[in-house]
Amino acid sequence: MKKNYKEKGFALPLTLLLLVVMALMSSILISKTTTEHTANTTKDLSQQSFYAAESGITEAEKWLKANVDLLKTSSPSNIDRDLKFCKTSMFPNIINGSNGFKIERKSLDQVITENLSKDELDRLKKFSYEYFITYTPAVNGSTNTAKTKTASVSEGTSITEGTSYKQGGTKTATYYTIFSCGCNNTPDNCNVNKDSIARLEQDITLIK
Amino acid sequence: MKMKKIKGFTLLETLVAMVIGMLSIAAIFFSYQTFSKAYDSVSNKAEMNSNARNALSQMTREIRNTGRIDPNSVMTHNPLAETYFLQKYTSPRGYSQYYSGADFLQIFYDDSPTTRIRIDYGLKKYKDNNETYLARTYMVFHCTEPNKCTLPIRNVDQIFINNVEDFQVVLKDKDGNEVTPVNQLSANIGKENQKKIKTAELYITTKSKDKIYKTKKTWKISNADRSYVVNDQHHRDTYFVSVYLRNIIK
Repeated sequence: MKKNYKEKGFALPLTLLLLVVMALMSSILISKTTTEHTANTTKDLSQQSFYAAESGITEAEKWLKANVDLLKTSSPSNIDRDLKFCKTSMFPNIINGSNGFKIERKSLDQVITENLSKDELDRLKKFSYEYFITYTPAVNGSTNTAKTKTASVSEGTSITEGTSYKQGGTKTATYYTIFSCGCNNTPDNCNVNKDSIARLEQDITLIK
Repeated sequence: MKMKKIKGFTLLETLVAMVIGMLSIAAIFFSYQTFSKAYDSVSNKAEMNSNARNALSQMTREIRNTGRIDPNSVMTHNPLAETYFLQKYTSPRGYSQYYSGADFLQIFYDDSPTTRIRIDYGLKKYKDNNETYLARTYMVFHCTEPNKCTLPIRNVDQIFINNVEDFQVVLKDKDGNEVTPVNQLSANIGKENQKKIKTAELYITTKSKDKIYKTKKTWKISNADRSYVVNDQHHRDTYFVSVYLRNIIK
C-alpha cells in the first residue's frame, strides 16, 4: 500500500502548478485592468472638477453683469475667512488673505436645473464650485486698488471676457478677476487634501 | 507476485504517460502564450489611451488660455493685441517640417506680467520611418521690463503624443459656424477672423505601433474635413475634444 501511494503520479502537482500559474497570470491582468480603471476614474473626476470651476466662472460673470450698481459704491473687504475650499492662498498671483467683493459656493444641481433625471441630479450634487471676485491683482499681488482702461464698448453695463483687443474708446472699464475652484464633492464636505480641486482664473473688464 | 506487479511500467504505460505529459505541457505553453498576448494587447491599448488622454487634457488647458493678455504685462511688443494670437494652417506653408495632410495650430497667451507663451502643434514624421507623431513646440518669452527681454526658452518639436496619424482643428464662432481662414496667408481677414472664435474642436487619431489584429481591418477615418480609408492590422483610436476659448472677445 505504501508503494502504491508513492507512485500515484504527477496529476496532482501538475494541476496545482497549472492552477498557480493561471491564477498568477489572471491576477496580473486583473490588477492591470483595475489600475487602468482607477486612472480613468481619477481622470474623469478631475475633468468634472474642471467643468465645475468653469461653471463657477460663468456664474460669477452673470453676477457681475447683474450687480454693476452695487459695484459702483462698494470697496474690497476681507473675504478669505468665509471661503471654504477656494482660499486666496491657493492662487500664487495674489497675496494671502487678499480683499475682494463677492464669494459664492454651490453644488452643480443648484445651477443646472432644467430637465434633469434623478440620476443626473444625484451626480451633479457631488460636484461643486466656489468663487470669489477681486480687483485684478497688481504685479505685487495686491487687490486693493482698481485698474482701469478705456474701452470702446457703448452700453453702460457691458461685460467683456478677457482683455479687449479693441483699443481706445470713451468709456472706462474696470478690471476684475474671478478666482474659481471646482471640487468633486458637495460644497460643505469638500476637502482640500482628499478631493480633486481644479483652480481657474478669469480676467474681466466691466464698464461701470 | 504482488511485488512483480508494481515493479515498473510497461512500454505502453510509458508511452501513454509521455503523451499525456506532452499534451499538458503543450496546454500550459499555449495558455501562457494566449495570456501573454492578451496582457500585451491590454497594456498596449491602456498605455496608448492614457498617454493620449493625458496629453489631450494638457492641450485643452493650454488652448483654453489662447489670447490671454495679462493686464499688468510689461511686454512692449504686444503680438496678442496687434497681430496673431491664434493661427491654423491646413497646408504647412512656412512650416515645411510638418506633415501636410494634417492641420497645424499655433497659439499665444500671457502666463504672467513678464512671460508670454507660444505653443505650436503639428504632425511630424519620425526620423527613421514614415509614421507621424504629434509634435509640440513650446516657447517662453520673458521680459523683466519693457525692451529688456531674455532669449526665449525653446523646446522645439518634442514628441507630445506618439503614433498620431491625423490631427484636425475646427475653429467655430458663437453660432457654431466654422471660422476660416485664421492665419497670416489671408492678411487682415485672418486677423479679424481670430477674434470671432468661440470654440476649438480637436480630432486626434492614434495608430498602434505594432500590428495588433490577425487579419486586416478596414478603417474609415473621418475627422472634420479630412476623410481617408486604410486597410491594415493596426488598431486606431480617435479622440475628440471641444475647447471653449474664454479669453477671446466675441
